[in-house]
Formats: sequence, C-alpha cells, structure tokens
Amino acid sequence: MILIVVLPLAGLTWLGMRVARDDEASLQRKFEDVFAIQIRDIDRIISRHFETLSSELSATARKVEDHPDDIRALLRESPQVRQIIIVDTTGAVLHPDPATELNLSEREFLHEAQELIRDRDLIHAWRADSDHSQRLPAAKTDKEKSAASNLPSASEGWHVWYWGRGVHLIFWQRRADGNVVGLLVERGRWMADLIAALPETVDQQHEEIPVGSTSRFRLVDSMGDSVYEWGEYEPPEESAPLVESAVSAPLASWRLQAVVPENLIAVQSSGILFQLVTGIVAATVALSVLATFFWREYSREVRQASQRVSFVNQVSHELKTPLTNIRMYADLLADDLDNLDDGSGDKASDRLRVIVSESQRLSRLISNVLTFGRQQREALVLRYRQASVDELVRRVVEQFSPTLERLGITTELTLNAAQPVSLDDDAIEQILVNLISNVEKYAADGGVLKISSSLTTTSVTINVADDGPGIPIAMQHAIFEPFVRVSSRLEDAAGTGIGLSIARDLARLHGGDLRIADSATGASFSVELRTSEEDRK
Amino acid sequence: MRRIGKTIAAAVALSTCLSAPTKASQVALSVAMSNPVLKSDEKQTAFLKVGLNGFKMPVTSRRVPVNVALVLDKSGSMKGRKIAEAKQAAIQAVRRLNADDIVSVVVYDSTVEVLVPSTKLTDKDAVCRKISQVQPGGRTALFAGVSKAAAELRKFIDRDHVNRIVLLSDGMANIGPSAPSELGSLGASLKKENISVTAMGLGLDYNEDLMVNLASNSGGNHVFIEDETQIAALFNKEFNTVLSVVAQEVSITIEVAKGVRPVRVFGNQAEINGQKVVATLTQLYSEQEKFLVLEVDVPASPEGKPLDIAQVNVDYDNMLTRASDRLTGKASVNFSSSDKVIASCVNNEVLEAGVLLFANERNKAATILRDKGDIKAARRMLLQNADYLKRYAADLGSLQLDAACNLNTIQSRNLEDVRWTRFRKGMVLEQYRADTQQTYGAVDLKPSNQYPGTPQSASPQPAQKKSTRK
Repeated sequence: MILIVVLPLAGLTWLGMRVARDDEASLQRKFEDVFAIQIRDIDRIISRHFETLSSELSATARKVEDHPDDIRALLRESPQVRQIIIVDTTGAVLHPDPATELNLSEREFLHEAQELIRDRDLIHAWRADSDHSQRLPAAKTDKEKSAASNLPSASEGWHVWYWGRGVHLIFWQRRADGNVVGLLVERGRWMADLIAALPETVDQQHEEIPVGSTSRFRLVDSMGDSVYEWGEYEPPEESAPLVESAVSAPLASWRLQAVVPENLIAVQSSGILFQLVTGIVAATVALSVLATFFWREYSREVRQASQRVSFVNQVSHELKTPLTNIRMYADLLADDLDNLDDGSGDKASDRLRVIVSESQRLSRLISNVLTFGRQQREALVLRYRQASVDELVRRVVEQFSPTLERLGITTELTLNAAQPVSLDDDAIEQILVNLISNVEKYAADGGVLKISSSLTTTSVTINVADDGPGIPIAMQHAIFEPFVRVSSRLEDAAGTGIGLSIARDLARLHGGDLRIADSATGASFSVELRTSEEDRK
Repeated sequence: MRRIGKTIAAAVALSTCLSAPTKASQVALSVAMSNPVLKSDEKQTAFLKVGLNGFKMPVTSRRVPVNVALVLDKSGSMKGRKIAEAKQAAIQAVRRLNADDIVSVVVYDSTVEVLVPSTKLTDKDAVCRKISQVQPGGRTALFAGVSKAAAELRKFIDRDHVNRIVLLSDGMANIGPSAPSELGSLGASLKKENISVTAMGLGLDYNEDLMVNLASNSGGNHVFIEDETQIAALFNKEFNTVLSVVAQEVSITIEVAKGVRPVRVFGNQAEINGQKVVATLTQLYSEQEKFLVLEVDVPASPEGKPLDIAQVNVDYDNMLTRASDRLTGKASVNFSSSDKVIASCVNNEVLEAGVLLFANERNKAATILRDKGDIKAARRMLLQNADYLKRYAADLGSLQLDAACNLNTIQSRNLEDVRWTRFRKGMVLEQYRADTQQTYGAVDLKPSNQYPGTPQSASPQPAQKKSTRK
C-alpha cells in the first residue's frame, strides 16, 4: 500500500530533480552569457579609451623635437607622458643621451629602461622599413615583445613593458627620418584615466552598461590584483568569478571579471524548485487519498469476509449439536431395529442407514467448516494421542463403505502402520475423510480405491489413489488453495472446496505434507506425517 | 594674454644686503645667496634661495573661484564618529563656497561613487544633503576614488579656478594601485594640469608615504589628523589656503652661471638640466612665502671679483589681475679674504632656510634608517642633526632652527616607542611641512589621550610653534 505512494513519488522526484538540474545548468549558462556580453561591452570601453589615448599620444609624439630642452618642456605640459625616448635607425638612444647632463628623472628612466633599450629585436621592430606604413592605433603587444615585430609596416603602436610594479605602456611612433619616438605613458595616470572611463557602482554616465545590484565587476592586473571594481555586490575576498575574460590589447595581460553571489543562480532557479516541490506535494496528497481509499475498501472486504466466516462458524456450531443428537439417535434406532428378529425392520434399517450416512456427511462438512474457521483465526492446535494409523484408516473406510459400495468402488487396503504412534487422530481422520470424500465425489464411476500406509521411525505415509479422471496438470498447484475446485459446475459435485486445503494444512501442522503422487490413472495423494517428538525418542 | 615683464633687482652687493621692494598686486620674488661674500680662492658650497611671497588679496576684490573635488573614504573603518565628523567637515566646507565655485564629491569604499558630479555650486543644500546620506562600509579603493575625482574636476578645468582635490582617508588602500610610487605618478601627472591633491590621513592606519607621495608630487598639502574631532578644524584650514590662492602655475627657471654647479634643490621636485634648474609650484597663497633652496658649488675665485651665480625667471598666473606675470631676479657673489667681512654679510634668512632644509634631508634619512630597523644609526643621525641645528640656531639667533633642533631631539627618543606608527606619521608630516612651507597642520608633540601609558619624558617643546615661520 505504501509502495503505491512511494514508488511513483520517488520517480516523480527523480524526474523533477533532473529537470531542475538541467534548468539550473541552462540558467547558469544564460547568466554566463549575459555577463560575458557585459564584459565584452566593458572591454569595448577599454579599447575605445586606448584608441583615444593613442591618437592623443600620436599627436604628442609628432610634437617631439630633437633638442632635450624642447623635449623637457613638452614633458612638463604633457600630463600623460612620463618620459620620452628617441632611438635612431641604428638602435642608438638619441634622447635621453647618457653622454649629456641628464636630470634625475631621465637618469632613472635610462636605468629602468636598460633592458628595453638592449632589446635589439624591439628596436629593430620600431625602426623597421616604413615603405607602406599604416596606422595601427593599438597594435597587439605582448610581454617584452612588441607584436609590431610581426607587423613591420606599422608606423606607430603600443609596446607593453613589464617593469617594477607591473605593466608599463610605451607608445612608439616612427618618424619620417626613421628615428623612433617612444612615449612612456605615466603609469598612475593611464590607470586613473582608465578607471575614470569605467562605470561606477552608482553610475550616471554609463547608461549603456547595466550595473546589477547582484554583481561585482573587477578589472584585475597581470598579478591578479584588483585594479578597479564596481557593482553593489560585495564579494568575499578570493571569490571566484562567474565569467572572466582577457582585456583587449594593449592590456592583454589584464582581465575583466564578473563576480556574482554563489546563491544567485540558486535563488533564480528556486522558482523551478518551488514548482517541483509543489508538484510532488500535490502528487503525494492525491496518491495518499487513493491509497487510503483502496485500503479502506480492502479492509471493509476483509471485515465482511471475516464476518461471513464467523457467521458460518457460529451457524455450523449451532448445527453440530442437533446433528450429533440425530446421529446418536439414528445409531440407537438402527441397533434397536437390528435387534428385531422378525426381519420386519430390514426396510426401515436400510432407510435408517441412509439417514446415518447422510448425517455423517453433514457432520464432516461442518467439521471442515469449523476447522477452516479455526485455521483462519490461526487457532488450529493439534492434540497428540497414541493411535494406530491403520485402525484410523479402517475406521474411516468403514464409515464410507455404504457409499463406496453404492458407487461400485472397491477398496483395496495395504496397511503397514499398525503400530500406535503419537498424532492427532482427529486431524488424521479429517485428512482421510477429505481425501476419500474427493474419491466419492470425483471418481464416482467405479474402479478401485487403493489405500496404503507405511511407517518409518519418524514418519507415517498414507497413499490414497483412485481410478477416477485424475487432476489436470494445470490445476495441480491450485487444488490446495481454499475454494478451488477442479470443476465448478454445480451438477458435477457437491462440496465446499476447502477439503484439500484443510487436509494439507493439517498434514503440515504435523510437520509433514500432502502432495499429489505420481500415478498412471486417476488421482493419487500422498500424506506424509511426522510423528511427534516423544514418539521418536 | 597680457604679459607684464617686471625685473626685480635682487642684487646683492658688498655694501647692501637688501631685497627689492614689490608691488602690492604682484608676487614678490626674492633671490638671495646665503653668503653674498665668499672666501676668496676656495671652492665652496653655498645656498641660493628663491622665495616667492604671495601678495595680500585686496579685501574689496572677488575671491578666486575654486574647482574642488572632495574625496571621502567611507570604508568600514570610518564607521561611527569618524564618518560623522568627516561628513560634518565636508558640509561645512561646502557651506563656505559660493555659486562661482565648482564642486564635486566622490566617496569610495570597495567601489567608487560620484556622489555629486562636478557642478557649479548653485544648490548647496542638495550637495550637503547628499553628503549627509553617506553610509560607510567596505574596503578602501583610494586610487580609484582619486581617479574619478580628477575626472570630475577636469570637466570644468580652466585657468580662472583653483583646482584642488581634497582627499580624506583613514586606511591602507587595499583595492587598486596602492604603492606610494603609483599614487606619486598620478600626482605628478595631475600637477601638470595644475591640479593638486591635499592628502589628509585620519587615525593611525593610513599609509603616510602614499599620502605624502600623492601630495608632494601634485603640490598639495598633507595633514595628519590623529583624532576625528580635528577633522573639521583641519578642513577649515585647508579651505583657508585653497581660498587664498593668489597665483597659479608658477614656473621657476634658474639659469645657473657657467662654472657654478647646481648640486641639488631641497625638497621641491625640481629638474636640474645641466645649468638650468626648473621647478613648478601649483599655487601661491596670500601673504605666504614658498621658497626653494638650491645648493651650488662655487668655484675658487680671486678676491674682489664679483661672480654671477644665477639668473632667475618666474612665470605665473596672477589670479587677481588675471594676467600672466613674469618676475626676474639674479644672484651674484663677491669674494673676500677677510672672515670678518664674510661673516658680516651673511644672509641669515637664506642661511636659516638652507640649514633647515639640509637638516630636513637628514631627518628623512633617519626615517629610512629606522624603517630598515637600524634604530641606533637613526638616533645618531637625529642627534647629530640636533647639534647642527643648535649651532646655527645660536649663530643666527633663530627660533625656527631652535624649534627644529628640539624636534629632532624628541624624535630621537621616539624611535623605539611602541607608538612609533604614530610618531612616524608626525615625522613624515613635519618633513613635508618643512619642504613645502605648509603653514598649517603641525603635529601635536604631546602624547595623544588615546594611548594609555607613561607620559612622554620630554617636556613640552616650543618646536610645535613651527608655524611662526613666514
């Protein structure tokens, strides 16, 4: 009954969870897509910023003249530029010229830029042929290597230079005379300007970039340190980003990250979860109602059946007492008639025998019903007594002899269990009665009834075989079930259909069994009984 | 634009040790040698002082309008009284301004908010209301705060306004660039646009090197606010200076004569390009002197033969007349074999400035020694410094040198103090004030109430009266 509810629910839950998981995964993908698009937009801002910066620096670079005083004056009025370097076609540094008197800042720059200046490839790239020079505002660059070396035709571009606290940007421009002017961009300044170009948490200037209350965007440098952040969500330190992507050149070593609360997607998908839970609850309720209905129907039927059984029991009990009296007085009457010498009682005696026989039959029926009733109440208890199986067999056959005679059935007894053993003689009698009743009912066309008995130290075996039509193989298992009869046609045979069931249960109570035995013709039953413990000792 | 050429003869002769008279609506330039007469036939070192004195703004004239960006730290550590006082101070400052001024307010914690985008201050109440609603929480994105403020300020930048970022922070910058050099780089760039940043450090957790780098490279002020109750007063003083600017974009060029070698310029970040020394000052304040001292090597010369040392040109924007002015001056020396003559002609004022800045350099060196953990060497240097200052204080009868002597002595005792964090902030602040002639914000030498423990052994010193310097 519980399974009716649990199994479908388990299935439903499993399916629902799968759907929810799939949904969560697709939601996660959707989130990632949304943030990836936002990050792309942000990267576009950065690219635009550097495009603007490079055109400004391009203009500044064109103003650079050769005289150090002019260069210094230009530096003083160029907030974006920290230092200027001029390299000639041979790779020699024209400015700041170490051979002249340099100021502190220039000396520091030369010191810092030693590696840069020694990088012959770079210098070579910078002064490469300008036959078909074209403007590349943001030539892709890489660590210590200007990608311009792959693009020798470029006449200006970015060079990324790692030194000290991280990335430094140099904007270089090749002049008509072949010399290259490099502008070291003021690091603090370009970072500040980049930050100023990016959105704020509460933004009035970047309407095109939505700033969600549930996210944090981060611009991180090549060391993974945050340079700038915006967005209302305050993530715990070291929280991993949902989406991360490299910034466009020249800041290719920097990354843009979107961080969202870990439970954001869970919160979003909790709608599905809610639906799922609701569905499961509804299904539980429906199934429970159904199961309760079935359970109540079932118990009602069980109750009614047991009421019926108990009614039949009571009626049988009530029937048994008068029947016993009838049998007793019929026996007495038969004896009285036998004692009449004149033979006038012969006819009456014959009729009386019919009465006795029929009352015996009725008595058997009633005792079967009563045994069945006890069996149903699990109140069947054996009462062991010393008894001889052969005597029992004879007594029962004797009981049936008038009927068997009338039906033309001859009895053949092969009895080898005369020794008394401990068993419930009433039960054995009932088993035999039921078996012989079946012979009487089904094998009514004559033939031989063979009953044999044998005895071992621990068991008694009784075989009852007839010449009747036998039991169809398909029915052989079913016949021991209560209320099953080989033929259900009313005119075929009388009976309650509980005889074999009771017989087998009684045999089993004795630690034995009742089986269908192999036989060429007719039906053959074999009863095996374990004799009681004390008897075996 | 009208350019007025004015030659101020700051001639130094044997007979006269005078400085030239100045016009009331002009910056006064004084160019003088510490020793107008030097020992003959000897290679010597001398100080050349270039002083610029801001004229008094006439009461009748309109105040110079300002373009100011307030940058307030609202990180979690500002919670409580700090943020309350900071907001109050900012509101008071805004109330002092008027509709000609341009104001922007930027607040930051982990992220930045442009609370008030750059605007003409026509609606003070709205600005103050926004300031009053600031709630603290988060970390310290100091660099980004200044970056956004600079961008706001730049929206309306022009030569008629005094451009200033006023930054108040109580903590280590822990989001974004945080190295003193990075803040210094930004400051240097802003200075080229004539934007200066005043860096106010609150409490004991800020990084004074970062704040000083930002302030000094941009030509702003630096303040150490030990206790939040002082915020309003120091904001007020800062705005006093901002509102008293008389000259901007002051560019000083010193052409040093052939044969004379410029050695170094104290404090001020001047460029020494061969014989040409260039320095810029973002602003000059009313009735305040800013100066720079150039140390020069003078070649051995014969007695009685005057030698030109330097020609000084100063260009600046006069905020009163709205004109670009040029001042010129020159310095020369003569030589004598008589020590008496030499001594009689010593320019006390110039020598005092030179000694003060020279000692200041050594004071900075002592801080570096202490940072490296060499407390002994640091103490020795400070005590030597005190001796040096004491000697000149007596010779020149200078109260200022005497005060500096006391300051070095006290500092020598604080090197191992558990409150070193606090004393270091004071030390760096005083170095900065000496270099830039910042008039306000002197450090309180008395131990603060917030430190339990034994009182400092030193008796109260007149050193804190440094602001007597003019």
